[in-house]
Amino acid sequence: MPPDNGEIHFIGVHLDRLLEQRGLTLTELADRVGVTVVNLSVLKNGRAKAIRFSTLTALCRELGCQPGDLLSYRPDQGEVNA
Amino acid sequence: MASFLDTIDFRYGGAIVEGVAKKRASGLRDPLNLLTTLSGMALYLLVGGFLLTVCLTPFGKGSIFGYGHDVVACVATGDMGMTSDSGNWLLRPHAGVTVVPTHINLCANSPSAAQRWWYTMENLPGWLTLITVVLVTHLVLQHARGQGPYSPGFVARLRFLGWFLLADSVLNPAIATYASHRLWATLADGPVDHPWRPGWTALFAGIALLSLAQVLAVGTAMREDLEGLV
Repeated sequence: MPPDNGEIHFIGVHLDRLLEQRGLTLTELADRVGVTVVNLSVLKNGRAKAIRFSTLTALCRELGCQPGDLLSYRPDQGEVNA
Repeated sequence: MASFLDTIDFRYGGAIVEGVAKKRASGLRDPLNLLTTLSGMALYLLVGGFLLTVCLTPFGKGSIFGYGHDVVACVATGDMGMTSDSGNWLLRPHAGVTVVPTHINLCANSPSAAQRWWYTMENLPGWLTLITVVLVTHLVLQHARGQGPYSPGFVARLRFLGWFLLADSVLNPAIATYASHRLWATLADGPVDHPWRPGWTALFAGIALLSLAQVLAVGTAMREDLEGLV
């Protein structure tokens, strides 16, 4: 459940789709990136409030993608509390 | 939900640092063990003693406020503004010392129901305040041990304690002063000074707790932000 502190955003995270396309599990990606599975799960499930550039860099490096492939602005799909 | 400790693990990386970080973080809460134990003991002693006295009073083996065995209902005046040469007392002040008997105590040796009631009203608020403060302090410490000081529950309990002390600083003296007036009226004729004064200690303690709660609320928000940072 996202924390209810009134911070609303419209950013979607497509980590699950990229993982599926690359045939990777969350645990494998966590090992490669150097982030805990819990934190990566927070990001995947849209509960993260912010992402470090270093994390984004590592994710893009390991997934072979651009930041735009991982994140998208989706005002039409409803508000997301973070 | 990701914990604050997971953020620490990520920041420093590696299994060894993870273990050290968790051990250190858990060690930070250990000092509260002693305080929680002490506040718990104080609470049990207070409540236990209070309940025991209440239970024994009807059987003539104890007394509480204006009720029970060999009870006297006393009330003290405010500042009388008198001086005395203490000629009739055993007290022998040194040369150049003025005796200022600021208070007079009037005690009913066999108090009536009304006198017992006003005597109780004069003393009960102070005891209720003491028990409530010890109880809430114990709850605050217990919550801090479990959830840490930077948690919404801790802040809410601290705020409650702050507002309670603020209200108590006004209401407690008001009730006690009014009860003193009424009790005095049953014991003696003539005007007497029972000035109402706020409980300054409770007032400033309440303000300090509310300020501390506000600071911790900001810290709690920062911690929540940190937990959501990946």
